[in-house]
Parts: sequence; C-alpha cells; structure tokens
Amino acid sequence: MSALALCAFASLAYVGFLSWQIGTEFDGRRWDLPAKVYAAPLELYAGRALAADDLVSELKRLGYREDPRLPQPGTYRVALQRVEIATRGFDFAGDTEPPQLISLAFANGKISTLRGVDGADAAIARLDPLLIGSLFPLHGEDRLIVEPGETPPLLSAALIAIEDRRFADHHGVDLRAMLRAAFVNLSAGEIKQGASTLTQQLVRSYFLSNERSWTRKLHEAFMAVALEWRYDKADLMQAYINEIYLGQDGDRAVHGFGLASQFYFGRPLTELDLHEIALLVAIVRGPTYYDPRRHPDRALARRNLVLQEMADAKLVSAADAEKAGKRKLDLLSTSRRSATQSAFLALVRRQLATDYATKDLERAGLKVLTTFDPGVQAVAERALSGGIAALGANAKDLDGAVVVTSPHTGEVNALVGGRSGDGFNRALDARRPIGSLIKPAVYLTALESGRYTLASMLDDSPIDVKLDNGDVWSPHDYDGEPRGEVPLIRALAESLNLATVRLGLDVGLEPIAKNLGRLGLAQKPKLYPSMLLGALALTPLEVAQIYNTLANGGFRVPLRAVRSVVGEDGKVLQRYSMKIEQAADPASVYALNQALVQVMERGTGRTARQQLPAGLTVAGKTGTSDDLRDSWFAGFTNEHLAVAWIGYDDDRPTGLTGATGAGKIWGRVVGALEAGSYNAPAPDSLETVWVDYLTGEPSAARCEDAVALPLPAAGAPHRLLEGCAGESFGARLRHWFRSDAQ
Amino acid sequence: MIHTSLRRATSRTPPARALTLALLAALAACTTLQGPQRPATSSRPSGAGAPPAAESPNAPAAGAGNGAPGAPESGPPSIAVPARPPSETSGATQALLAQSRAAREAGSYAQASATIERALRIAPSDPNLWVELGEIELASGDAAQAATLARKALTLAANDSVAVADAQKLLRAAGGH
Repeated sequence: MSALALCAFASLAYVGFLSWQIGTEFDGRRWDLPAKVYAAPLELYAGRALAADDLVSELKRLGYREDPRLPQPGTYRVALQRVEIATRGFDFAGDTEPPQLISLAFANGKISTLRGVDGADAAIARLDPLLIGSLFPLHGEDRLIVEPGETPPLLSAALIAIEDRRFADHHGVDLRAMLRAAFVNLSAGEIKQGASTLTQQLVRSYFLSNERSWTRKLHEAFMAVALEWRYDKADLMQAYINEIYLGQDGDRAVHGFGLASQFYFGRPLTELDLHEIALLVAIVRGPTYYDPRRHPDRALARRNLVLQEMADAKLVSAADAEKAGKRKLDLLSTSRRSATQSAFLALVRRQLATDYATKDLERAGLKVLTTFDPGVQAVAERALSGGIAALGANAKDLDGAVVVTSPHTGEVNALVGGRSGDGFNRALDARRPIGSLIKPAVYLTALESGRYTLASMLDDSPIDVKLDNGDVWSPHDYDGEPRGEVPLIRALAESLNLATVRLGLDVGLEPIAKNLGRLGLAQKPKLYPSMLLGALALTPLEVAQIYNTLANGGFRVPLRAVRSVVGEDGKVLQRYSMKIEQAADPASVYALNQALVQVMERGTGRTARQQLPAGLTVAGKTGTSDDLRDSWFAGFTNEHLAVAWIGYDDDRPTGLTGATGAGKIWGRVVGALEAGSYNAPAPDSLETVWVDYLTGEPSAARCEDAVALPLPAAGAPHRLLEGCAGESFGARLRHWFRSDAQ
Repeated sequence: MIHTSLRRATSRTPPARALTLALLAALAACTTLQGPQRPATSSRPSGAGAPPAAESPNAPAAGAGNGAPGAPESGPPSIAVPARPPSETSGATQALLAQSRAAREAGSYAQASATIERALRIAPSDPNLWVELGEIELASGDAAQAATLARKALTLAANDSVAVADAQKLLRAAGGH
C-alpha cells in the first residue's frame, strides 16, 4: 500500500519534472525552418507574349485547378479563347498582390486584353510565385509552417478520428486505446489501431529517436503526459500538424502537412479537397509503406478506409465520402517537380552565401524571392535533353548545361546543370576551355583601340609564335585553309584562327585580359598566346556573365538570382537591386555585336540560325575546344541571353563543334522563347557603309555579299560604289544607269 | 506570425498538479536550477501572451497610386517628377511608372526602384524607364549609378529626342558631364 503510494508519487514527480524540462526546451526551441525559395511571379498584361496554352501550363505548375465555377482562389476556367483566373494573391513584405478574378483574351500568341472582375481593363496583374524549393541542410528536415487559420478543420477532425479518437479527453496517453490496439492487432484485419495518441506521436517525432524499446515507450508516455500538462489541445494539434513526418524527397525529409500538401499536390493546404486531405491523413501511419507515388494501390486503399472512418465519425456525409473515394489520387506528377531546379537553388545559395551564414539559411525561416522563370527553365531543360537526344545514339553519356539571362537586368531566368538531376551542376562547376568564345574579347579590344574597324583588313595566313619557353606555337584554322586577306568582320564571323592570333598579338594580350575583366571575368587569365584561341577554362555561368555585358551594350550588370530576402518577421532583410557599370565603349560594343549578327547570318552560327524564324535578328558565337572536347554556344536576342555547353564529364572528344552541338541546343532554347530581335539602335558616332563581306571592298547595298557595317563617322571618307565586288565594269555601268534612270 | 510556437495552457492546471509543481520547485531550488517560467507562477492569460506587435508589415504600401502619400515629417526634399509625354510603352509600364512615382514622392526609394525594375523587365529597351531609375538613384544619393543609367538610356534613346534630352539632363545633374 505504501509502496504503491510511493510509486504513484514518484511517477507524478517525474512527470512534473519532465513537464518543466520539456517546457524549457519546447518553449525556447522553434523548428529549424529552411529558407523558402520562390520563382519570380508571372506578370500578366496586355501585349505580353504568352499563349493561352503556356498560361495554362503555368497555372498547372502553380497547382491551380480547372473549375468552371471559380469557387475559390487557385482555380481557373478556359472558355472561348479566354482564360479566367481566381488568383491567390500574395504579400511579401509590403509587395502586395490581392487575390482577384481576372479574365484574359489572347491573339497571335499574345495576351490581347486583361480585365478585372468588374469587366474594366486592368493594367497588370501577377500570379503568386511558384515555391521552387528550400535551402534545407543535407539530409535535413524541411517544413512549411501552417497557422491554425490555414489548417482545414476537417484535417484536425480526421486526424482525431483516425489516429486518436479520445484526443479531446485523454491526458497524453490513452490506456483504453492501448488495450484495444493490442487486442485488434492480434485479431488483425481491418484498419490497424494505433496505440499512440497524437501527443505521443508528437513527442516521438520531436524529442525521441525511433528506437523501439519498452523504456522508450515508457519515457514517451511520461513525456506525453507532461506535454499535456503544459499545453492546451489546440496548440498540441497545431504542433502535430507542423511536426509530423510525411514523406521523403531525395535528401529532404518532408515534415508537416503544409509542405506535404505542396509535395504531393503542389497546392496550399487550404485548397485541398476531401479526398486529398484523406490521403495525407492516410500517409501519417507509414509514409514509406503508404508512399502514394511508389505504392499507389496501397495508398488508395488506405485513403478510402480513412474516408469511410470519417463518414462513420459523421465528419462528412456517407455520400461525400463515397464520391471522394471514387476520385484518383490526383498527385502532382513527378515531371512537374523538376529535379533540375536544384541547379538554380545552388546558384541562389551561392549568391546568398556572401551575406548569410549557412545556419541562417537553413533555419531562420527566410523567404527568398528569385529571378527564376519556370517557363524559361522548362524550355531550357527540354532543349538540352531533346537536343542531346537528337544527336543520336553515340551521344549517350553526353551531358551539358544551359544558362538563360535577361541581359538588360542581369537576372538569371533559368539554369540547367545537366540532363538529369545527378547532383553535378555543370552550369556552375564544369570549368572547360571556351575555345572561340573568347574571340569577341579580342575583337572588342581591337575596335576600342581605334586602330581597327569592322572593315579593316586582317591577314589570315600561317604564323609561328615563339613562346617564352622557346617553343614555337603554330596555330591552324579549323579547316586548315588560310583565307589570306579578309575583312575583320569576316574573320570574326567565320572564326578564323590565324587572323585572330595576328590581331590579338597586335593589340596585346594584356589589354585583352583587362577587357575580359571589365566584361565580368573574375579570374585573371594567364597571358599565353594560346589564350587568343580560348585556352581558358570557364564555367557556363562565367561565360554568361561576359556575354551578358556584350548583350547589354557594354554595360556590366552582375548576374543575379535573388531579388530580395524577407525575414521571418515579414520585413525585407535585403534587396538585391540592379547595379550597373559601364564596362566598354558602347559604340565599339555595338559594332562588335553587328559582327556577332553576321556570325549568325553568314558565319559559324548559320546552322543554329536556321532553327529560328526568318526575320529574327540574333547575335551569337560558337566555341570549340581542342580535339572537339567542348562544344559551346553563346548568343542573344533583345530579351534573352543563352549560353549552352555540351561535352563529356570525363573530357573525351565529342566529335562536335560549337555549331553542330551546343549551337543546336541554343537554337532550341531561343526558338522556343518568345524572342524579340536584337535591335540596339546605332550610335551617332557610327555611320552605315555597305561593304563586300568576302573582300572588304565597298559595295552597293543590292549586291549579294554586301553587308551594312557601322563604321566610325569621323574616319576617312568611305568610298561609295554603285557596283558589286568582282563585277565587270560593264555590269557596274549597267546598274549605275538603271538606278540612275529611276 | 510564421512560427506556431506552443503557448502554455494555464487554465488546465488542476490543484493536484500545482502541488507537484511546488514540490518540483523545491527540488529545482536545491539544484539551483530555476525553471524560467513556471505555469503556477504565471498569471498571464495564454492567448494574450504576445505583446502588441509593431504595426503590420504591409502598412505603408506604395500601391495607393492616388498621389496622396502621407507627408514625411522633415523627410526627404520633395522631388519634382518631370512631366514627360506618354512613352510608347504599354499600359502596364505606364501603370508601374505611376506607382513608382507615387512611391518616390513618398520617399520610398526602394519601393520606387523595385517597381521600375518590374517595368524594365517588361520593356527593357525603353530609355524613359532607365532615366526614371536613374532619377531615383540620384534622389537616393547614388550619383555614379545615376550617371551610368543616364548613359545606358542614351544608348537606347536613338531618335527619341525627348528621351535624349531627359537622359542628358540626368547625366548633368549626376555630374557625369
């Protein structure tokens, strides 16, 4: 008798002690909340190039559901060339977009009108940004905290009905349930009775390991009682909803219903239907065993049991439960959960690493608003995998990378680190010789020197360069045929090695290296003559930075992946606004870019150009390293710069040039993006002169090989010819008379 | 609120448990370990535990667009927004331009430039938007950035004489010429 009292007293004291201990830990500790990373919100306005189909796929990516009644935010309907959307709205640190009803009409691949709910034209609206991932620690937990107001009441009720019927009444442990569970488990068959209360499960998940032993069970029970002592039921339920393990996404452990809703359905918890809530509740019992992606039949069967139990508990009508039981699992397809988005997340981490400690990114509940464009990313991913597949069977292990930026703002819209999400981020980490991609820096240096114009004649003939160590370097043209005297524009357009080496040695390696630095190259290249032909290993992202400066007319904007960071208090911690510097003489860059247009029209970029619509002006450059180990292409329109690289990870020769490999991938990217021509206006200091592309002689505009070159107006007067290069005197005379007669 | 931290429940503590706690308090005192907050001694109602929070974060939005921002007391000097004829940008960029100017007049330069950056993503070749961004940078004290933005605008202005004049004016104001 007294022994029993002592035992009871000791238990009570122990519970009291645990309660105090838990309190200090539970009150003080919060969940580690990995930073949530969001794409750029899609801007909708009249005049935007966006087809109805593309908008619908964007809506699907965001988990919007088609419902003709538009019953709640996160739904849309399509009718008669119109798309009508009940948007979700968002609020990031005062940047607010209200939820609203909008209606869009389309014509010629563009949004033709945007109307608000009142039928009046609206100027602009935004969709909520796509959650693209979290900066979670390696093998870490990830969660998306939901507040009580964001939790469907049906979810809590269903959890109680399925997991812990006496939740409202027990004090942490449910002895009756334990006994019943022991009995039911013996006689097996129907839905397995869980012995643990929700509180016990919470304790297990939050405080304890998953070891199965009697001492742990006992400890768990005591702690559950202690927890109940200190906190009320509603708080415990909300903690449970945010804590519990619900699935595995590669390295990432998916915790809580908020993240699980995104992980399985791509939608916020508040928008889930009955059958989806039931599935999440079904998964609680065994996220691996009932993994709906791996074991859909198992998960479906248990979901329907949950629905039946919900009906039995009068949470829903039998009819609703039956209707929900007939629905599919409706999971977010894995293809829409792009594994390759992790490549962009790596860039986000890198940009933030300069300002934030890793532990803050992984724990402090930050929101990171990025420049990521899911539509452009999808295009780039398809271009890389489709482009490599089209190269044939011998391209089996071939891999690559694509970077897409907006040149005027320096925002990185898409980043593909490889064909599969194998963890090697080639866009950031594959440092490979860039070959002829370096040539624009050589020619820009020449143009800026004032001693060369696009019409200057270069000598494409063999050259022996004596190196410092006494060796002699004898470069060749790609096809081994020196062209002799050629105009500068042709030497660049056709990527002639000998002319480039001679030009580079004349303007000097040092100024070229300095120019590379101004264009955005962080490392200082070694000043070997072979640098002139691209014996310089860079990552696709570094190449993108250099070419972005060219595409931006000589203005360098550091490439950005992050627009701003919002703290857990909802205030902006940091805004990464655009910083712009003039890196080169705009007139020289304009002239250089006209040469890069000729690369596409007449030079090594022709094959890539053929994939694009006629009339689209693009500028670009091929790059090929020794023995065809690396195939590069970089080029731009007015709105997009894209850099593509392909090669083998083990550096084997690919058999591809920049044109036959990466150029095709680049063409797929630019062809699929709604691109406007590269159309920078000519600077006043240059005047347009028609010159024969092959010989550099003045030429009439009508001639076959005539190209319009922007040349310094202040230079020597340019001879104007009525004839074409190589034409007989008589033919010129006839043209002269004909044009005169008009 | 991003976190749902557990709030303590004071109302559910029956007297028997309070007794145990008193005992525990004694125990704890022996080891000089002091529980920071104990339910028995806490008299604050659980629900109202949070102190009145600082104003909600989205209070001073610039989206008003009605040109009636609260006058900042002794704040930044008021900015004369140059009257510019409507450019050829779409209705979207005009709307954002108006929003940006309202923010600038209210002295919210960060908001103003973020809004102009939105417009620039839509119409990156519009020199007027680059001038606008430059004016914001100048107003917020970064003359070097303003001058560069003016030069950038000049490369895009071409035959738009108004834009050229605006960009040159900005360049002079920024000390670039």
